[in-house]
Amino acid sequence: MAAAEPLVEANRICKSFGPKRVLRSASLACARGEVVLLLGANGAGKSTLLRVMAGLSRADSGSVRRAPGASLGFLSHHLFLYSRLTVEENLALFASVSGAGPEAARAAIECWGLEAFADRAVSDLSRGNQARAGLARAFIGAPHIRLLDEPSGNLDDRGVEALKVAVAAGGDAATVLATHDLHRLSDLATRVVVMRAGEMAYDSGPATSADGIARAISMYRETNR
Amino acid sequence: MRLWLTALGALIIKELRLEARGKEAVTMLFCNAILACALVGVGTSSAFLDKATTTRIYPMLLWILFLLSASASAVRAHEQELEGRGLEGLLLAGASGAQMFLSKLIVMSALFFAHFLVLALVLGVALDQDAPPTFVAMIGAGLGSSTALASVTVLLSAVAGTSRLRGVLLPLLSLPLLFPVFFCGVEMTSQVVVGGGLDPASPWPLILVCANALYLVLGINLFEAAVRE
Repeated sequence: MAAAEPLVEANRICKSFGPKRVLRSASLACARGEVVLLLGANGAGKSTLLRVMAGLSRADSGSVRRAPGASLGFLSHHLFLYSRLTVEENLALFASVSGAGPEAARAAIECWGLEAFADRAVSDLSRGNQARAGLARAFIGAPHIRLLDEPSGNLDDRGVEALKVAVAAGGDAATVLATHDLHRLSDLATRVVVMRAGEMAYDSGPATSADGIARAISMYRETNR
Repeated sequence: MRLWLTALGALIIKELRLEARGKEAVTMLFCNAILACALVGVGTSSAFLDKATTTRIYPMLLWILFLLSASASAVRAHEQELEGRGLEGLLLAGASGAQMFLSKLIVMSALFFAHFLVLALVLGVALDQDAPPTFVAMIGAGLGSSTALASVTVLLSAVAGTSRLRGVLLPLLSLPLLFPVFFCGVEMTSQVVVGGGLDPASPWPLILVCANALYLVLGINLFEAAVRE
């Protein structure tokens, strides 16, 4: 069977910060409906690769291709929110800019359980609720591509459940999840990719079975001992 | 087009809300203006300058104070963008550089123009000028200069925004670009204050319009690249 056309594709990306080579010819493609779990130790290059794929960082060499017209939702360690605006004002702004309309902002507030905090400034929220607000922004307007860097970092179990619902609701969307939280997020994966020292060390391939994913995860754990 | 304008409207509201919450640019603009005018007023009265002399130095003082305080406040206004990396979030959401630039330009121009009016009035009083007639005639120069100044400072704030030296860098970078605005402002204000009205043959209004057009085109085309860099 021919592989599905990827919605987002990074090809042989190299990136250095000064003398430090962070990405060494890293390639990653994510097709419609795939949920790729991107694993790797700290400093393996996961966050940098996602920033390059999101277009927020320029690669030294290599290319990134996105399907024409595909919208993008991106979450990183930064919230990309205005800390002095309320949650509702932020989400209304991002909904308006992405063309999703005010209903999308209200739906996002409900989906991420932010009703009680909607009128509070983002800077006044706890880390967990800030993370929810950041995820609500990343998912607003149901983007075709979701690049999520450590999405469960500050989330409690209810937040992780909301994340799983949001990822699953994407259906045809392409999702890349960079995480260390295998315990809570591994059941979302349809494919596992392991990075080591800026390179792709292992790729389970598309439509991996539960056994294949378990093998990939145990391999990742072995290499990180 | 409707979606584009809706997004622009949302961005303008965002700029106004941020300024209303932080009051960073407003505080810096108006406190500087009133303090500087009080100092200049005290200084000139201590020097026993006659009214003809103060009328001659009024345009120059007005434009020096205006450009310095406005460019310094633009740095403060940009600080809010750095706190949560909101501009990057807007780029991810699909906002164009033109939308982001224009929203900032509109809000900053309005702020700078209000600042100019306050400064012209307070400095006029401090230097014992006949404020009301000249004040009305200076509005054109003030408005044209405010938009040019806003274009330059908004673009350069994005260029210098992530540098730790941005407080120094922005005025230094903007100085060469603001020279034409400064000369236009001083010449046009002098014609109004000293000569009683704008000379119809004067080239300065046209120069100001050209500077505005140039800075507007530069800002619209370069703002996104400046944010991404």
